[in-house]
Amino acid sequence: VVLTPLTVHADRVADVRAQGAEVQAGGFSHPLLHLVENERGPQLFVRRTMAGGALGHAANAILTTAPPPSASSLDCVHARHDIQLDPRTGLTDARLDLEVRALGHALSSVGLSFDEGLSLGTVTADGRTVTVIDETHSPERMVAISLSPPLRPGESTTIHVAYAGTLACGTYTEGGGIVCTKGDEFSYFGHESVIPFVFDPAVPHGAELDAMTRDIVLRVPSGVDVIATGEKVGETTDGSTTTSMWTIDHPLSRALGMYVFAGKLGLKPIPGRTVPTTFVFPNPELPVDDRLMSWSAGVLDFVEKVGGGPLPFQRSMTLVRLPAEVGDPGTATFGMTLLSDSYARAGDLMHEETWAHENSHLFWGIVVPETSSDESRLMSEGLAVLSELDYTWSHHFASMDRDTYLARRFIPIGLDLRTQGQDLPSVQLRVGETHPDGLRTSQYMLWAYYKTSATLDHLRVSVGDEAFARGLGEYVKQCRYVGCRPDDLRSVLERTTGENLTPFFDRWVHATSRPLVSIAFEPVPGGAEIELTKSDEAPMTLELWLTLDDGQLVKRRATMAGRSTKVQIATGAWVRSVRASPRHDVLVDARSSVSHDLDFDGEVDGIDLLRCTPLVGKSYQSTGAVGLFDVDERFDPRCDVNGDLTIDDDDITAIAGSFGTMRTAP
Amino acid sequence: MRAATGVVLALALGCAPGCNSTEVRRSGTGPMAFAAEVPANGVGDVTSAGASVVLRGRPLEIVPRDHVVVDVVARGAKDLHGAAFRVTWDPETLTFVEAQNGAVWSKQLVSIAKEGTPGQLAVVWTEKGETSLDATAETVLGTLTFEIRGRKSTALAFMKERAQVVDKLGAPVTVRWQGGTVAAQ
Repeated sequence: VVLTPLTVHADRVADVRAQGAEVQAGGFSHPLLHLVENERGPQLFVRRTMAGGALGHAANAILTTAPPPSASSLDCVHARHDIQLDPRTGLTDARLDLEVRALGHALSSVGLSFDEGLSLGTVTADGRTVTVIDETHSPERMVAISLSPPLRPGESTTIHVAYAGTLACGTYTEGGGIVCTKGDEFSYFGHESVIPFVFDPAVPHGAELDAMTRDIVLRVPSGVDVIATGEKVGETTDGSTTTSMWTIDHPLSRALGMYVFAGKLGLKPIPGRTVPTTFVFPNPELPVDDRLMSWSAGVLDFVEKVGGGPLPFQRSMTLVRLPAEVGDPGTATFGMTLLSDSYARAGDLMHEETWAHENSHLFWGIVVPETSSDESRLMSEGLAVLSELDYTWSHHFASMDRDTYLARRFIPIGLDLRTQGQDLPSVQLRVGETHPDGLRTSQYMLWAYYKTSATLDHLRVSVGDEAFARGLGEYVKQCRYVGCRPDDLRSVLERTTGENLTPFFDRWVHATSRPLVSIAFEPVPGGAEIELTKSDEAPMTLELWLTLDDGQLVKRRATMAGRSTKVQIATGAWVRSVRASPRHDVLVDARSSVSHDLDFDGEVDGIDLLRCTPLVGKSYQSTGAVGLFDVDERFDPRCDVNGDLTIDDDDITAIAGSFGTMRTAP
Repeated sequence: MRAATGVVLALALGCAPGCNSTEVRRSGTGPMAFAAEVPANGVGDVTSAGASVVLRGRPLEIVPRDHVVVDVVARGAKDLHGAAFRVTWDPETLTFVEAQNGAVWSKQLVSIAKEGTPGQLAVVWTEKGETSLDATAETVLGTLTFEIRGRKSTALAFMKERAQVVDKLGAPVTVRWQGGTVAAQ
């Protein structure tokens, strides 16, 4: 089955009002890049501004890419937001009550950033004297609140902050996103506009999980629709003001997006969901809204299946179509998923898949957060990519063999990693390693999305898909609302499978490796004698595929203990070929012991050549894509013998050089 | 529909142009010659329905003495990018001499033949890139020549599990493979 490459759909461009984002044939940058940008936006802004000397920090004194030298002592416990907002004018009068605790060592200050048009009012802290540094770093106001005396470890206080004024709703210099919009219609208030972003001025670059609960009270003029991040718990109207109450009653990373939408919103219920789920969109309603709504129940049901149970947002959920002009690609946060309509340009299939990716983050990163988003994105982005691929297979390609489908999807990922990702750090950073940083960097994409998802897929083939799914269910139970690290997944999988996975994690999570494994076999009556050879002693498991003479495919896992491992597998029929599952290909260079034996039958004949000759002339050109996106997935890396990313006469000549290598006829 | 089938059968049971037989002959004392196998359904050679690749012996009159020459003939494959196959025989009876590609191929042709083990010949004739030829009608893909070493009859057969035709996208084309026997007339 040949997957149809997707192209940019001109008819979709018209209905998404994509302004300032030109569609260029073959030049569409990968949508996930933009998701990365947004997700890391507020935190990166604070890091870079602080590195530039904000709030008393010396310029360049802080590395923006390195993991923190010491963990932050800021432990946010709970925030209560009371915000009076006129979305038409941006007039705001707000108050924040923030309960914080010192964790590990003394806490002397807390940082906030919000829209530069809002002025800081009275600031107090229970039992502490406060001093404030208040600076404008357009488009944000940045505030450092120092506590005297500092909180000692275990001590807590509540900081009370008043802020008011008229929102400026400026634009970020880097990335081009805007802080907010004002108006009668769809008004957008991103994180760091009316709801402050909270950070530790002492460790602005820290990414250790600090999760907190929140209550939000929003007061808007009556007749104005309003939606906020969190579950809606009530709404009253007193004639001139509508007051709505929202809660985040489980710990949510303080770094994750807090949104408010107000105005004349498009609001529609998502059919087919037990939990009231509202689709929010800017008027007028467009065809893309129908599509998103029609996908949503299936996407959320799938996400819950993968996550092992229902999402914990039982009172309400919100799905948002963001207009392209706000420059916010979207994200997921507590009970809320947002996606820019600019993604519709990628065509329905990729748009739907991106919708699945983003909604899967309701588990991967929201309900089940990572301990540190700086040290690894294995269990957030890695799992989200797996989820999107699984979703697309189950909803659109279920008639195709799943292993073959997944292997196809990982072909461009593997090629990109091999050609552009050779210098990437390990999936989990080691001491001294830094992850690729910066907005819209393909290197970060390769590290955070490609390498992680490829590692996870290789892992689940190695332990077995069912065992992996069981383990993932246990991981969700163990890690929901608390931060977990990749080694927590290892522990959980070791418990559920009974296998020692330290060698796997040492080889592919804590280090980078693509070992060469040579596969030789001899057909024997009733099965095959197989010899697997590699160049090191570390154990490794592969799923072997044995094709029998009657065409039947037998799959068996085999563990290699040392450099050479012999296994005998009974099949009941003559074995024609033995190969590794192609899903190992990104991270294992599995080859037949016979040179240029592409179909692993231990021989080289015309069938090996026929695999490649139709592909002569094909070149692989990365489009920064997770497959299915202007990528010709028929490019077969095994035919590119010399690895120059083009299948040409040189490759055919090389294969032809081994032509006629064959066993004695049975 | 019934009338059309009748026409096909009538043609199938006759001797197609260029063939020298449609049934296996008993060993005799005359010269060694190739005879195509008769399929189980009795419908012989390339005129039967569906795509096929068959071996067809050249008439004895035009074959060098002590040689057997067979054409590899395709039919019913509109989009044929390439063909790969193996042929086996008893090496005590025949010695492989050469494999010559047919005239239908383009200059891009990849043509390789090698007797990997005694009595086992691997052949590939294929285009390069997303191109193909139309083998809807009978098309000689190439010719195999053997020298006769002995008088013991031998099957000259395709290894069907090692034979494949693909279209220009590399997708396998379902093909009936049909060999035959070399025996004394």
